[in-house]
Amino acid sequence: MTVRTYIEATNQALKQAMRSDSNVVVIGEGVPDPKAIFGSTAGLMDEFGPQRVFDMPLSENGMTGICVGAALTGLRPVLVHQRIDFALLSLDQLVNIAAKWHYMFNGQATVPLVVRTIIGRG
Amino acid sequence: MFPLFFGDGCFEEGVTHESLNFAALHRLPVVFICENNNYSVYTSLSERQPNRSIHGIAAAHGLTTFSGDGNDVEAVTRAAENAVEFARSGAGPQFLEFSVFRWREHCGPNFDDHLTYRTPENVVEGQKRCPIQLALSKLAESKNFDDQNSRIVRAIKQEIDDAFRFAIESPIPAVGELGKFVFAEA
Repeated sequence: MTVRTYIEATNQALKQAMRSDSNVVVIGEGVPDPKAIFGSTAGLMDEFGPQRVFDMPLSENGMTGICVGAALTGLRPVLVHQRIDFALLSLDQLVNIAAKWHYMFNGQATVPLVVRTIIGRG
Repeated sequence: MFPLFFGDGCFEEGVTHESLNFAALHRLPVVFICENNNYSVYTSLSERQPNRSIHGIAAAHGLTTFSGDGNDVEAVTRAAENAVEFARSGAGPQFLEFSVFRWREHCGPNFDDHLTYRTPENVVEGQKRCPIQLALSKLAESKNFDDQNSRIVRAIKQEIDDAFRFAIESPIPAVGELGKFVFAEA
């Protein structure tokens, strides 16, 4: 049986998802930086480029809203929070916006959004 | 190009500034349109924001801005056309601020001036700037105005009546539908 750390498994899963669907994008503060979210996003920028892998301003609430819009219009965003403290700022958009669209539009809209967060080191 | 409408109260929310920053950073084709009616529910602008303009803050975020009288139909049309054209041409996000008058209650179809959150003088002054009346008085001298006006008014009234009839005649949703679409199927 292959043994992997959680970080390695996350990195592999992101690469597989991005290879199989060109609408998958990864966004988060530090995603393309040298430490690459404890290594979990390592190599993504090299393989998929800046159109699909990018950093963001320190605007967790706003960026979650932008990812909700991106998901509604066809992208498959993976929003990454490096710290749980900042991830809580996403909750406004997740609870008040993301969770409501499907019901509001009678099932005609979906918000296929992945939000990753890390408690401790992951 | 994406037009986005909001009021003066929105400008106190952090997420609004986050959005302006992101739109300017990536030069997104967004037209932000602030309808400033000076009130958030019953709290006036002077109790919520310092004495500086809203569009000035948008300019500081790096947006191209315009501010004007939201009651002047022609001026609003010109400003909106320019902003849409700039946004589409790749000039980055645009910000329009229009001063307007709140006609009815904060949320609903009735009047709430009896609550005296603003003075009767304010109300009279605001009503004098009715955008429809201002536009009508400009158009009144044009050829065939009366015929065209009554035709347009009739069509609008018909559309409203039809919408009301559709709503009233539609069945009330069954209780069983309440949980439908709360969760999306995987």
